[in-house]
Amino acid sequence: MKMIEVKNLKVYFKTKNLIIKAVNNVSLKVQNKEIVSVVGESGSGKTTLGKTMLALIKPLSGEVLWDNKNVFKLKRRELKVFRRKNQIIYQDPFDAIDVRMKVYDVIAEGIRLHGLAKSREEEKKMIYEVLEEVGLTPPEEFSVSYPTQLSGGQLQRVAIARALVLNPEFIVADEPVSMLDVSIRASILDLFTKANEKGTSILMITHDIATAAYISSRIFVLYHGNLVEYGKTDQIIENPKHPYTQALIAAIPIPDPGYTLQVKLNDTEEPDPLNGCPLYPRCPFRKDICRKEEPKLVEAEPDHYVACHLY
Amino acid sequence: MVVDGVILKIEDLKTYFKTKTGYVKAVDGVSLYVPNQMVVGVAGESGSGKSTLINSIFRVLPRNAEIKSGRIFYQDKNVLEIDERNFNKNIRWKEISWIPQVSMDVLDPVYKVKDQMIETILAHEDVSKAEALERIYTMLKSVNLMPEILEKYPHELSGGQKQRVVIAMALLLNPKLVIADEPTTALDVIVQAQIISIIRQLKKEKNFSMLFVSHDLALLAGLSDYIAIMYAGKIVEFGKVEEVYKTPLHPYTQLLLESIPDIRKRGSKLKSVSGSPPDLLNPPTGCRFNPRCPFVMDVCKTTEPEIVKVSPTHYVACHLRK
Repeated sequence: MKMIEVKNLKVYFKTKNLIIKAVNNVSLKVQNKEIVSVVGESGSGKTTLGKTMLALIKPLSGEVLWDNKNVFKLKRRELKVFRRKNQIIYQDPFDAIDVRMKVYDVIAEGIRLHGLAKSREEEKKMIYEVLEEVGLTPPEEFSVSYPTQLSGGQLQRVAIARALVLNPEFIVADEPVSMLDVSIRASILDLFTKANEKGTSILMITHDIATAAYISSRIFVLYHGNLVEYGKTDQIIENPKHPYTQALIAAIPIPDPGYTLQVKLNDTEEPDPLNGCPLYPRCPFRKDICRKEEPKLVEAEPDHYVACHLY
Repeated sequence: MVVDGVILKIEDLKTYFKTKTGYVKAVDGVSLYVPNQMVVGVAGESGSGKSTLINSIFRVLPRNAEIKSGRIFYQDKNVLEIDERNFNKNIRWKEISWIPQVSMDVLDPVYKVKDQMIETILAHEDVSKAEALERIYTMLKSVNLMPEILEKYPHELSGGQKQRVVIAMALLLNPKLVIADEPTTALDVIVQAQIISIIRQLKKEKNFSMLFVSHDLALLAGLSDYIAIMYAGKIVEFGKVEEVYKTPLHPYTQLLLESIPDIRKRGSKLKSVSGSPPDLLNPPTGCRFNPRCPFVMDVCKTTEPEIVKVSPTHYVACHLRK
């Protein structure tokens, strides 16, 4: 069973004098009960991809299939089910949660909207259970708090509780820990791992390939809207093929005195070529063909794909 | 903590913020030194007081901040006792310069980069405009920027370009001490690597000393000679970078080091520090880390641990290490 599949997705944004290709012909599948990561720099289109997969942005072309149904053609009732079963967690919980509502009501909103509880008692039970699940104990205390009384980490737990209480099949987590302090990040990532163990698939959007390596079984690398490489985590981390992936990995600081960060891309601000490989200006291995022709994804080894003229 | 050949020495600094509900003890009794030509990394989470520490040294604190006690020696001068005019003319930018976070927007949006850079030089040194420009071109080259950038306004630059301009400006007057406050936070990793390698290169050429504040222990590992770990307004551990990373003594340092993803050990489980960062309006009594510490003892709840020397260069403030 394939949960969510993206086929030749293009999402362009038009401004006055230019077209920004935020997502450019991306195809990917998130298998059932899988955690995958989408990695890339700011502006690589990873958030746009995640939002389009949840039908929050309309694409220019291409499809998002949910159990083989095009999510942009769902009827009202089906769409409501889709919305319940596919959730999103944002980077900044202070933006994502209405600060005037108590934690209880923040979580109850979804339950009520979808009519998931038969009685007030049941609703309360669901809310307390999910608060405990995300580590906000005692729930009696946290449920009556206002968001401003909580720390960023606690509030992110509320955002996760709000999604989990609806029993989602799929969660897009958009940089869920990058606003949080280092010392509590692991405990938030654990919540996603636990949800995954219970059967929820997760698409983790992150700029940090090290975090992606810890949590996901497969990694997709985006560059300027293009999927440039994807494969199993070990393949991507140990044997990165694309010069951009190689540079991303070389640029990660390692907590070891004496290591030196490596810069593997040209230091330039030249614009992308019109038809060629988007990495062309920064690529140290570029050839003439890279300027003229966009590379296509090819299988470098089983399950490992790369879009680069070197291969 | 007294040693020879230090360029900056901070003694028992207390910087509090006055609020309606009381004093926020952002920096509460910090002592620290920067040896000549060394890089001292200060690691801490948000709210640990690391930016307040930096802002106290550069004397750019907001109005509600009060320095309650302490001394900050730059070479032999206590900079807290120098009057503002004198400090601005002779020390700020000239002797001690500052690289803030990109998001701080230190560049003035209504002036071209060129005018801001020229002003920095002319405000402190008696040189001609041509000489100043000459120096600016050399500096731009060393941060990998094209001269065309001079004719641009800050909003026309990318985050990475802005930060290069800020670094170039900080080094225009050949300062002896550079204090950097999360200079690469909010930049993409590859841009961060580029900026860090520029800073390393410049450090090699110009031999300045550095105080480098960051929440990123991994980044500091490769950059620093010494590391100070801050928690809730206090320094809980200080030492040579190898000492702190290889034999961390404070439970907070230990947990923090185990909480950073290390791509080489991705099979292992990441740890996290339970609980929330402390409320600095009403910090916990005793050791400030005690509510989150896995090794908490009775004494930790009542008595604040003093910072003790465990090697000539390694200090820790923890009751376990007495």
